[in-house]
Amino acid sequence: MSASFPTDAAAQVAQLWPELWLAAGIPAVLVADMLLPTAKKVATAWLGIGACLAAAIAACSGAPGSIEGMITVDAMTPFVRCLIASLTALLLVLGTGQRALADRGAHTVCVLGVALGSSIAAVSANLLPLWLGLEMVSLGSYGLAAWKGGDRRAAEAGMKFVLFGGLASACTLFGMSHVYGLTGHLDFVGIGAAFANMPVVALAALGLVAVGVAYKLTIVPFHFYAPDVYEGAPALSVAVVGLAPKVGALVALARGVQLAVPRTLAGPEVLGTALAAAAGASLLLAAFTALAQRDAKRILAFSGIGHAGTAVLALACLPAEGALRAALLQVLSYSVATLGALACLAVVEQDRGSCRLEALRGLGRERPWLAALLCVFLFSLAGVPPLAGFFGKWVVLQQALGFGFGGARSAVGVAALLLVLSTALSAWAYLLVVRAVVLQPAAEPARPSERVAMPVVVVLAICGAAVLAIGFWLDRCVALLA
Amino acid sequence: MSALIVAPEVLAQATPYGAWASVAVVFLLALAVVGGALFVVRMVTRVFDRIRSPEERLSTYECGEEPVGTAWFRFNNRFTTVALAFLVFDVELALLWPILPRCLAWLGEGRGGQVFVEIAVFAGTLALGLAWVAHQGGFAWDRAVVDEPPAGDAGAGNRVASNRVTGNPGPGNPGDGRG
Repeated sequence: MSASFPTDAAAQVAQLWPELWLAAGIPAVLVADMLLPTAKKVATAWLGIGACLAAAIAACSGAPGSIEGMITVDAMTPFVRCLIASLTALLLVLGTGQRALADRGAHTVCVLGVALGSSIAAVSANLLPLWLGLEMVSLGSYGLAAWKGGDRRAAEAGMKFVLFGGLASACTLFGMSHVYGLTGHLDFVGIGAAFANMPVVALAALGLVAVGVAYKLTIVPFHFYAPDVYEGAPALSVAVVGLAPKVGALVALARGVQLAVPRTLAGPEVLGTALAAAAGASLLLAAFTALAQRDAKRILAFSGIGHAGTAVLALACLPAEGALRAALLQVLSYSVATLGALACLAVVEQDRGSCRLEALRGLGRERPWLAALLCVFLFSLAGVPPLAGFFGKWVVLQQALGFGFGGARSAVGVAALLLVLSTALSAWAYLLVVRAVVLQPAAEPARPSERVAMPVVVVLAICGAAVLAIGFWLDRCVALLA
Repeated sequence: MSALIVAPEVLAQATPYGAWASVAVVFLLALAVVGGALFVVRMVTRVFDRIRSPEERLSTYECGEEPVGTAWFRFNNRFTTVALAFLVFDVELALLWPILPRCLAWLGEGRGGQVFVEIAVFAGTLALGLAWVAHQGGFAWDRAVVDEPPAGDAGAGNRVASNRVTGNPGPGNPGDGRG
């Protein structure tokens, strides 16, 4: 059989190693889940972690290329795949620290499925793999959002996620069928070429396709599921649902904008204005609404909306050199800080059953180290200078201010000013959490708390180190992306 | 009858919607055939009807099983797993069809092994999933269901308590099955 397998096909398959490793992890985990006794199910998570690490290593050594216009591996892809795989590995490590996690095997499969879907979406240069990736992310996410069996809030979160997600998927598919009907192409390049001779209205079809991507990115006006889902779902699931899929969707959006939208219909100015409008709306809405929240996970949900807006603002400068790099650096700094914050909140959730601000009170007394780390992660998200979050916002701001002044581009400049304003506003929301954790005493006397599980400590240490390191070695990080 | 069926090329020349006219013709033909058949059956039963009890004739099964109550009730959602597994394999069958034309060409090129491996990987992955669902007790007829928290349990304090109870994988957890 190997003789009949063409060599170019083998080379093409070699470009898919990271995805293949993730995909191979899923059946391996299922088999292990069937064979292992209940007490040893944790091993399935380690199997998943192995698959993620293999994918991350394979991603680093990937050479640029493409497979039949379906999959494109470009200069940014190694970083993106590596980020998705490492985030997923960290999440699975975090999961091993949760004793009460039900159905470990199935949980690992869902997490791997989300990672695989994100990775496929990130490398897709065609509507079919994009759709496949987005749906794979969706199916895993729906299950994970409702993971806490018997909990009504979690069930509500899962249900809302399914309903809104189904609507977004339907919009995307509807748009894809329009795009194919209009152009006869499914690959981004072909679509771009075919659209070049069409009236501007035809771009509405691409707009419909973008709904599904915007939904995964939680961009206004497709954000409204996020706070409810974040509040109801367990903190670990929130981290799975909210990090890797955003990376994948962001890269897919960047590639679609670059390849499928012809310059003749929508030049950098028009496209920049549209993206800047979405980004500005997300930033403002997130900043103002976060102020009214009384649940730490809801605040993180609005933080996610705002940070997605920031990343999209970077994409608004797209033909400019370094726009995508700025967006990716922003997503990197957001991901590590959010993962750390959610890891802290997962511990709190296990202890106290809730992440409402009342429940967080007195955490500084009870678990000083955890509280300190939570504050560091929140300060990073707020954009306090020596930490990663500041530099994430800073590179985007630099990009947008460099691009967005004068004439038709001024929308990007306005959105950049909104970024500054929303950063100042949303800092208050993070400080609400910090106040509850540090300043306010617990309502009831401190209970003797169990030690934080070792895997959680490891994840917190890695995230904390990353939050500090990105700030101190920013130039190295930017060089790494180049 | 055959005079009704007009060649599509002829229709296409006649009007710009000619190609669709053939669809309309087929639709009318279908109506005529099915309607005609129903009419004939109706006539035959009217002439030869010897059954005198309409209750018997309107019952779900005319012989054998006595139905208990109506079929229009809310099914227990423990059957969802069975329904989902059925759906997966239903769709899987549809997805196997387009492989066929491609594979015929490959078989002609002497790449039979590759064809076999491709289909085996696809079907094998699904079979593995089926085995896993069965192992988790997804097809067990009588399963325990998670205890719902009591009604009116919306307060934060109550929820904390119920989380603690149901968060642990106890014997009542559906996914826990017999694993």
